[in-house]
Amino acid sequence: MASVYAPSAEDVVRRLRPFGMFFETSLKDLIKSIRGASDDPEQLQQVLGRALAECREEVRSPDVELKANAVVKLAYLEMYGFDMAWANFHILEVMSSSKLQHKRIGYLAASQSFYKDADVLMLATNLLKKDLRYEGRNDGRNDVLTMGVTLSGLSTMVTAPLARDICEDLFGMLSSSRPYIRKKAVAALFKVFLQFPEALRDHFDRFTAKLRDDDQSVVSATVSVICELSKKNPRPFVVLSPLLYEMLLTIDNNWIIIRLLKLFTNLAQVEPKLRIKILPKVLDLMEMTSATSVIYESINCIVRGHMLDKDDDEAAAICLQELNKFCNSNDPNLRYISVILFYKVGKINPHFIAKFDTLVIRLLKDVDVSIRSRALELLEGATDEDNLASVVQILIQQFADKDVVSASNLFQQAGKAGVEIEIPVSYKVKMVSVILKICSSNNYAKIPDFDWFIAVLSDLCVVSQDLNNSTIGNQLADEIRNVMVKVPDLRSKFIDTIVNLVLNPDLTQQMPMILREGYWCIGEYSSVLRNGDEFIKKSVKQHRVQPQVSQIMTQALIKVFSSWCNDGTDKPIPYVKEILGELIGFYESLSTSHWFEVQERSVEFLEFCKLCDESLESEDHELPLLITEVLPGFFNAYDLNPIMAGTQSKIQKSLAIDLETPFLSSEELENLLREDASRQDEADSGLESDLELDSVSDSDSDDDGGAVPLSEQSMPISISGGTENSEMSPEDRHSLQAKRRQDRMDNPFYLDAGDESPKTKDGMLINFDGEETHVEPKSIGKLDLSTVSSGSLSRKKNKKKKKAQVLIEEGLPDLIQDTQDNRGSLDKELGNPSSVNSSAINLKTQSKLDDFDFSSSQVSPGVTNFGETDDSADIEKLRAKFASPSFGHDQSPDDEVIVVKKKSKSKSKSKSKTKAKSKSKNSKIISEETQNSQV
Amino acid sequence: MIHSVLIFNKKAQPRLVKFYTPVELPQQKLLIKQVYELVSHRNSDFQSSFLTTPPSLLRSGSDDLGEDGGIQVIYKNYATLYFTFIVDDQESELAILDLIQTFVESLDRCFTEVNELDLIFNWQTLESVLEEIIQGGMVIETSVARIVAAVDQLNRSASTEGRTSRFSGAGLGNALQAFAQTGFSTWASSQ
Repeated sequence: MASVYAPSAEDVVRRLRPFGMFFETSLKDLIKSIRGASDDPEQLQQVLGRALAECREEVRSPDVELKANAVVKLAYLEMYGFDMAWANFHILEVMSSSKLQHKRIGYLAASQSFYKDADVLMLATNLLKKDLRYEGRNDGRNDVLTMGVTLSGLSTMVTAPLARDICEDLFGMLSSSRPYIRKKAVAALFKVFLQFPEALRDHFDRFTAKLRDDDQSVVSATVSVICELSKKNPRPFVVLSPLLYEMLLTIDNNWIIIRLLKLFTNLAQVEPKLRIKILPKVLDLMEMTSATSVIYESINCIVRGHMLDKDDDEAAAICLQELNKFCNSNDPNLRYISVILFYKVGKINPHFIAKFDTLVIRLLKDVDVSIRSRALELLEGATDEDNLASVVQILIQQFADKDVVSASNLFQQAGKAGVEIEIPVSYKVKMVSVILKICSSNNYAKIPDFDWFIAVLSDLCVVSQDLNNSTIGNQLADEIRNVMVKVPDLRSKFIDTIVNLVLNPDLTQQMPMILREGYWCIGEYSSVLRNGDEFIKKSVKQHRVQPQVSQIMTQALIKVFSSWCNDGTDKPIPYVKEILGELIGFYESLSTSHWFEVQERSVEFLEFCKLCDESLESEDHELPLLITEVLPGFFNAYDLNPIMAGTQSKIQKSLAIDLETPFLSSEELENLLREDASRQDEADSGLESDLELDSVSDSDSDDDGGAVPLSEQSMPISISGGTENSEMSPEDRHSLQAKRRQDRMDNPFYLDAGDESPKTKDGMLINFDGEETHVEPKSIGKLDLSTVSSGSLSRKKNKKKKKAQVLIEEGLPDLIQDTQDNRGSLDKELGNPSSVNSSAINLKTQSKLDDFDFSSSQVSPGVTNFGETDDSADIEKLRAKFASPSFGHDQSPDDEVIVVKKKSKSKSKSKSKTKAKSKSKNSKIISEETQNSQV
Repeated sequence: MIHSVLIFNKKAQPRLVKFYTPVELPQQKLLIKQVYELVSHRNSDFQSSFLTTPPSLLRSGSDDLGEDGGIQVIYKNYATLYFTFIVDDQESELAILDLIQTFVESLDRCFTEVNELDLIFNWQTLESVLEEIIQGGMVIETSVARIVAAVDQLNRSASTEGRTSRFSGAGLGNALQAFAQTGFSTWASSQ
């Protein structure tokens, strides 16, 4: 390609021209050709490929000019995603050129690509040291510039060994006569301290003396560095607080003041005493300054530095007053960050922000969606019984895809008509989540009217289908179940809503979790369901239901059937038979399901239904006992009460449960069998006994109750081994389960439930792994728990409308603290939906400073060993052999050596020492000047 | 500290990619893409300069970067270009906005009335100016005058080196002189 690098005679001459002129044009040509091809991706790839190939050639050229040119082009090309690590050695050559402009290029490229290559850094160490001491070469000015360039490049590639080698040089530069060098050295020391904290410990005073530097840039850099360091480990800097405090009082540079405030925030994390002194000063500062950023940072400092006590209303009022002002500003930036701070203040004590509800509601209509999103977080503190309905109303209205913000809300140009903004899906997801949270907070204390809440829930289910978000689906489903369980007065009304939801064909596809919990509720409270027959007829027609749902459905439908048959009204036998026929058809269709739980349950119920069907044949006018007695006996043994999350697992720990006594002694079993045999002689006695066993054993009927649907733990006790199972200790049971799980994994017909069921963990009835259970498990009745506080206290009655009673979760009294903790961690879990992120970028700086012990005795840098890998220890040996690593050793620039390790590129860390030794034999020394590299 | 500075235009073409915390190239690309996605959906006229965290920056599980250790993406839109800074919680949001302004003012000083074309063809100037403002993620200078002076000094040294070298023809000498006297702008336009 002619434009990038044309080998014409003229170009050959130009190539030999002084550096600045040449490389400019060449890079320019590259940029031009990229621009020319930018419309056509294919052509662009060609251009880039060719440019890269040319660079590969040029970089090998003995002409430093050309080499530098190629390196700068490579550095540019890295922006387009071309790794330049392969050219690291050439970069090093360019860095070692004596010309400043070459060094600039070299260090720029090095800062981009050296960090991942420990070998080349090792080679660069001596060069770096030399450049840092660049003295007496040309005129003095270039010295300074070279040092500056070196410091800039250095700052992005400091590793632990390098940090140790150069820290002395950097400390020397702190006393340079030029502020330019001092500030750069200070900034470079930041990375050094992270990698080599001993340097900070040994030279703490020398470094912190820079806080008193004459030059403000140096002071600013020093404060910045200390601020960053104190974030990682604040303790050593607490001793500086008097000095810093004095600076805060005297300095008038806003940039530094902001940094100081940040620094105090960090220090206050470990030194609570600071609060007394700093807080009044910060409040003063807020009053005195006119700079918004300083006021903002002051509040930030107070809030994040834990300087605001729960009952410090005065300081809170001052802060919130300022924030309120910011929230009403025209500047969206100010509004945005203020809302975040508002939230933090509210977190300290929700009472602080309670009176700002009008502001919050206005922010919910802000023109900037990200501000709205932050305002959502405030809602929990700012809503109460009176405004909840209106707030939710505002939010649900925003489900429209476009929202027109009227000019009055626009804060700016009043004359302008409304602006149409798009509401992103992520905001809607958050919104649903927040609505559920504020409504359910404090055990539904804020709900003015549960009829309204049911309508809201139902609306939310419908509007959130399109969000296609399973977390929201789960939250909605949980909420539906919770309301159903906790508000008994409402059940008969709510169940109709739920029936509508589960029979909604769209929901079936989009939100299977709602279907699951919906069916569970219907099954569990089927006694309040009218027209159970209609429901069964409609449900069995639902197609393409997910197995997790089918599993619940199988139980729900039989329960509905049971309730319907026994609701006290007369039913014509043929009609009962018809409904039963529907059920049989339904179970038959599922009895070949690949989903083990579904298959097992539907086969069980199928057989039972068939028995019922047969029993209906024989009797003409009355329903058979099998339907009137046996069937309800499966499910109606105990009432279901809400219990506190985590209670179940607590019970496991304080195990005082009688696991020894069989539920059914063999004698009782005999009796039962005999009774049954006499009652229904045509029935298969073996099967019958199993069914009876089911109805007597709590654990089974609870399983069938369905709180616990798809987890493998909830598998009903095996038919033959009812007694054996009940005698097991938890450990045995655990191992049995592990074994079962293993078996299932080996079984090709058993689908692994683990990953497909989002609710597995929640659904576990008894959690043997000690994890918290979120769902209100209901098997508590069977455990002999005299300690359970059954407090179904009624809530205070509303003046206007009789408020529905909300059941309070039951728990073990002495464990409440723990369970609350559990709930806290659970909330966190729920609030963080994207917890799995495979492509996550970790911006956390690797540092050794975080838990470095500054009180440990001083050790000279050379002796300390920070658990280096064998590899770098080997390099140490190498260096000791060929180079001169010690600081004191004088070294003239001319006989500088670069150790070149022949790259066998077997860089695996696990390589044995012997191999490493053999590698060292391949090492060569070449002098920098000749540059006949063999790499 | 400042983790990264990204400059790209409205077509997602990168103009400057600078990472002060090591990030692998494919992830850099991913991040730029995600940041661009977020930025391009915003209306800079009335929306704030703060982006929601791009998905690739969200950490799995751990609380380190939770609410308090949060990474912020702060951007400013100038004509066709987005200047994006990725910073941690030790940087003040408003100060970073000022810093972006300082950066742009410095560029404006280097090329009178800077536009995207200037920055496209003078990537190295962009790098140099940034280098005088931020070093290894730390802000080292916030005064426009000092930033430009430092850049000019570095460039001037280029011309002195050039003058002492072998090929200093008349035309070249003129260019160098112009360069030395008025910094980038004149020189760039004379090219």
